[in-house]
Amino acid sequence: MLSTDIQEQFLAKLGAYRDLSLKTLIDFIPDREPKKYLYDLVTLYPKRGGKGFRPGLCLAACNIFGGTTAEAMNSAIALELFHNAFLVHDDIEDESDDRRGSPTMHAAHGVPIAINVGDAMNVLSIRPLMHNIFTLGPSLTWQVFSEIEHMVLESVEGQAMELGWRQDNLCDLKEDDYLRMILKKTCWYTCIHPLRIGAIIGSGGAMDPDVFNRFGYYLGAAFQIQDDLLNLVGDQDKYGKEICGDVLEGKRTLMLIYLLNTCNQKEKQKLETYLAKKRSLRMPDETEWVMKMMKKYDCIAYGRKNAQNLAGAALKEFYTVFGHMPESEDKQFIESMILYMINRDY
Amino acid sequence: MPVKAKQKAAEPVAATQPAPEKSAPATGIQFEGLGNIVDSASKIVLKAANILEEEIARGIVAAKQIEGKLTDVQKLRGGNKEELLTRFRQDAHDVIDLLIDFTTIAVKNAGSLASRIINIRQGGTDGTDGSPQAEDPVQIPLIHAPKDMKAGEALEVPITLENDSKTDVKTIEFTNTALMDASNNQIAAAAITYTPNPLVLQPGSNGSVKIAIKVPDGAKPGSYTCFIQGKNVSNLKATLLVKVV
Repeated sequence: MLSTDIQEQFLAKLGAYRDLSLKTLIDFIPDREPKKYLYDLVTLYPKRGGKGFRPGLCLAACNIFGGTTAEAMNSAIALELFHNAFLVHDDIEDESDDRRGSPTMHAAHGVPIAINVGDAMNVLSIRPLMHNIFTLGPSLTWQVFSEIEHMVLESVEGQAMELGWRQDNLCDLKEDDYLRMILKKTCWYTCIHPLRIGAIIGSGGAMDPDVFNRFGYYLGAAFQIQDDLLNLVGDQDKYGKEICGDVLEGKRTLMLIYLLNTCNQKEKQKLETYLAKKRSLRMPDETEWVMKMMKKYDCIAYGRKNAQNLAGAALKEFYTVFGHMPESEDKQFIESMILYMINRDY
Repeated sequence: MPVKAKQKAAEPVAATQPAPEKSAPATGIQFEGLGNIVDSASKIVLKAANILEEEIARGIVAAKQIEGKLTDVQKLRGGNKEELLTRFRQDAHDVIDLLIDFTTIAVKNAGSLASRIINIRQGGTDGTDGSPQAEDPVQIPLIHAPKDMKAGEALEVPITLENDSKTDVKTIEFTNTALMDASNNQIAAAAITYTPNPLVLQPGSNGSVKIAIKVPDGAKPGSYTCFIQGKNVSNLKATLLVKVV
């Protein structure tokens, strides 16, 4: 656990970075029509109080490696806009009902509007990256663009993997498949690229961003597994999404993959039948049975253990990558984030 | 693809590595309930390290293919290489990439594989006008055996090579010198074998070779090195380091 003081400092810093980036992000949203069906909705998810990990990591890394918050801000808000665009489209693809404690974009405004809002957020994230030219110069601006291009491509590839698994009802997946999928779907854009981009900007391009790959991967993987755990056993009021929503969606989490590989043949057949159904046809008692199976085979404990192991590896990498840097609030912020990732309850 | 071939500053951290000097955070973070996970072996971490390397390697190959189509290499070489977009590699022509495959060895010790992806430039020309490239010396990579070995032990290091020539079939016959340490102790060259040998690479394809190392009984402890090269690929060269304990 994080000590109370450290946790408060971490949350204060995270909140400060989130609020600052949100304020700047809103300034980039066009103040013109159509507001009701587009621009007012673009800020809907960001204003719901996301955690702001991505801008936080980017800004902190920039400061640690010699830059300023202002220099990395355009890139940080681009990351946040891309992230929220992903969320809007993910919620449609996953048929999710809740996001951050309120109805998802498509649940509230319909699928066509939600798709368009997600598209707009993707496009709007380009402008702050273009503005980098004024503060960072052409070389760094292009370097950041290259990072973003890789980030987005990896994310959509990872999402395609996961969607494909569900569409084809793949039930013979292994831990390796899951690790590869979350590297692509989550880790590049949640941790690795925010750190890389921040450090590139902070160091004026002198930093080798590859040193963050392992740290970011381990951190992002711990984050994703914890997120999936919270979906299974979290407090819905804090978590903001429906509990067991992932089971209902047939999402191939580490815990589900472990269950599929651990349960007996008869149970596996029943599980496969459940997963083959459309979400709307999965009965509550069937979902309850899946949860019972997860309990029977200690899937939650398995997930927790692996999230902790990955967090431990992330901490070790942290000392390798950041150990030689002077102590600072930002360095402590990133260090604290490692344990926060696996101890959080929302 | 912005991710480059090598991690220059950070050694890969695997659970099998010794803990860094600073084993506890100065900020007062406590690992309540996590026990000694920082130092304990973790299968998932090693798997993750393996997958990350594979994904990065794939990205490099993909980027190189795009690079070959989109970039004017002569023009790029005329500029400041360090500032040229990191997504583009410097050598778009006729490169053989030597990619150390983590498939088996990362599970044993990902920590020793800092130089897991190595570029070896083939030929003394840039492939466009036949002019020599004196400013681009051949790099000779160092391959670490993935773990310390004892006399009598054997292990295999799988390696993937890619031939990105669009026209030439590469037939690579591997050979090596004897292993020698600083005290002139020797291990015969025959202790290193390759499967397959030769390795045939069609244009634009890749293939794997397993380097098998068998430390003979009675071998003395020491850090042994030998020189590996392709008989018929002039610039395919590498140094192999094997630590016998």
